[in-house]
Amino acid sequence: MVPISAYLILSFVLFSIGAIGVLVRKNAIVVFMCIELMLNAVNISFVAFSQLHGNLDGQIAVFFVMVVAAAEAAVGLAIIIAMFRNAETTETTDFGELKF
Amino acid sequence: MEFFILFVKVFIVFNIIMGLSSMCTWIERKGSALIQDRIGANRAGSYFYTDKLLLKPIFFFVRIFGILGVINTLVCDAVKALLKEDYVPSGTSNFMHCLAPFMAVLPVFLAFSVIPFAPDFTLAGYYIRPQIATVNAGVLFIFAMGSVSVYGVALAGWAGNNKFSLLGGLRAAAQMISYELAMGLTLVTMILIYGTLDLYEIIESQKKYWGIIFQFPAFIVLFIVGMAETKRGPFDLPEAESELVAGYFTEYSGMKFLLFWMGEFAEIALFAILLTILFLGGWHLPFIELPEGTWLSALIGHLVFMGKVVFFCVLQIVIRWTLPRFKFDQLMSLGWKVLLPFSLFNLVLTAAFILWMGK
Amino acid sequence: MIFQQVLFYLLSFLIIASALGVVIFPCAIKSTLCLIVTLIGVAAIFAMLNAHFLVATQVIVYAGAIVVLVLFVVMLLNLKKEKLRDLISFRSILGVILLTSLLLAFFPLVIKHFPSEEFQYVHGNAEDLGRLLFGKFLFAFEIASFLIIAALLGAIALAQGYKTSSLEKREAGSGSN
Repeated sequence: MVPISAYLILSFVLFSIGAIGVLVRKNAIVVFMCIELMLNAVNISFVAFSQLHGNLDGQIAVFFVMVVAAAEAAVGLAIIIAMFRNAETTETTDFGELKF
Repeated sequence: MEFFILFVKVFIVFNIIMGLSSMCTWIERKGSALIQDRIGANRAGSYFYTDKLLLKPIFFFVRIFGILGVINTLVCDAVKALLKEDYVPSGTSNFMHCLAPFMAVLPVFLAFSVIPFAPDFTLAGYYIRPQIATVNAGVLFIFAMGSVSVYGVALAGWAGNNKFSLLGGLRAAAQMISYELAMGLTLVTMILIYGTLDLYEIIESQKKYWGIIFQFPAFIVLFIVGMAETKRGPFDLPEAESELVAGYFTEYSGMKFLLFWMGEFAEIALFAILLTILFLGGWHLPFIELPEGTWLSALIGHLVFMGKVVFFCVLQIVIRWTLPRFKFDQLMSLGWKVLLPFSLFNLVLTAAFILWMGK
Repeated sequence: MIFQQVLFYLLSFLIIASALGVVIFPCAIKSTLCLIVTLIGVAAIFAMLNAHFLVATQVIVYAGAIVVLVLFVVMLLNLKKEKLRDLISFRSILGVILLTSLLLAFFPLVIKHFPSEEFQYVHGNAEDLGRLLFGKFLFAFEIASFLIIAALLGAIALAQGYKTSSLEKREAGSGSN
């Protein structure tokens, strides 16, 4: 039987890898993908807790996290494309100033 | 013992997939030839002759198969594809070029694992259900595999390292994800009617009346969407043979190309099976009630199931060779502006009807 | 039982390896492919936790739609590879050290708080989830649909607004010439 702390540790490790990715990488699209990693880590811990408590509320929360992730994907990628067309690059270090 | 039954099931289902896609390949070649008023391939194996009397019957059958074009399609094409030079275009990653046919074929093969091929039966004391994975959400799993099979196409377009195949790949991916919406709504409509996501229960609840009687518009929509998802029929602009060289197939030759073909025919078979399960009642004949639980009824049910699947495969192939293809903007406007509102309207109407009838 | 443990450790190894792949690979498409593997691994973890509907939803929504969108953007923008040497800077090393220490500080806390409680089996099939969604969480469901419509309109506005603004720039440029 796999204890619940194993699932939580997996979720922690995945979250921290995603956070490290957000801090380290410069390409905006890869930063976006690391945000998705963090959201998935949170999803794992939600489902593990729902199994622990015998309640389905955790799985509903996962459902809503997925909805938010999908909405964020659409808008975020549209912003990235607009960024790229204005400045010909997607590196986050090139967008340090507020005007071009 | 359970593992042994599982292995036997996997072996049988794998043979069914291979058999169906080989049969579809042969029907495509010979059927297209007959539709286009030509003979097609009939040379390989048609000149076998022997003087020994004992071998004459075998050689007779080989000659018949050769004249029908079976040996040409199944044996010669495969050998040719295996022996061709396998090159990877320079400038792209070798790994991705080899990964793309794999990702195009794998989801389709995986989706066959939740399909029940015959009714339950008991054999020597073991209760066997001819379904490899009995998950609760079978219909959703097939839909998920249809979603993942977009990657093979997109990666194949990218790995070609030229603008034509990239354009073809992205067009194909856009077409597939546009038609997935209408497919999802149609599937939800059928789930509303049957009340369950499990494929076995869906077939069992069609004992008296087939699904097509309840929802004929949904059947039409799912048929069109199935042809668009597999990029067949009038929707085959991405792999158009007369434009865009060969679309996203351009840089593939030999066995990888044949893998794409096999995946496409397996997907045709998958959609035929989906249509059969949802609309045509699976293995139930219209007026005959078979005794349950024996291996004979399972066999008969399986043959009925396969007959309906073959009918849909042949229908899809015949439609492909009959209708001209859509332009890309006509294709996308059909998916977004016609099929999506129609299936949404259908869904709302069905839900209202079910609420009103109360069953 | 042993089978479950072996399966869990294999899956978690796969997930962590591909998550590291997302972060490390300089080429954007390889990162995307590793993300697909991670998402399908997470779907398998959901299957181990008896959440069957979420498995299908995860594959359909995340791996089948969101990552396809990311793949489209990566392929259309035709990005060059980042250099690995640029990844190592003071900022990134500080970030890695901070996060690793935070992670290691949490391990004993987690293991102490949830020693090894038995799971209560809850089957996450579509019917029960639907009952909750349309019963207790109906308000959140409606707000989520508003959110999706807002995101849809936002994405369309962002895509179209660019076209008109570039047209104005070109006209202004040709007008001044």
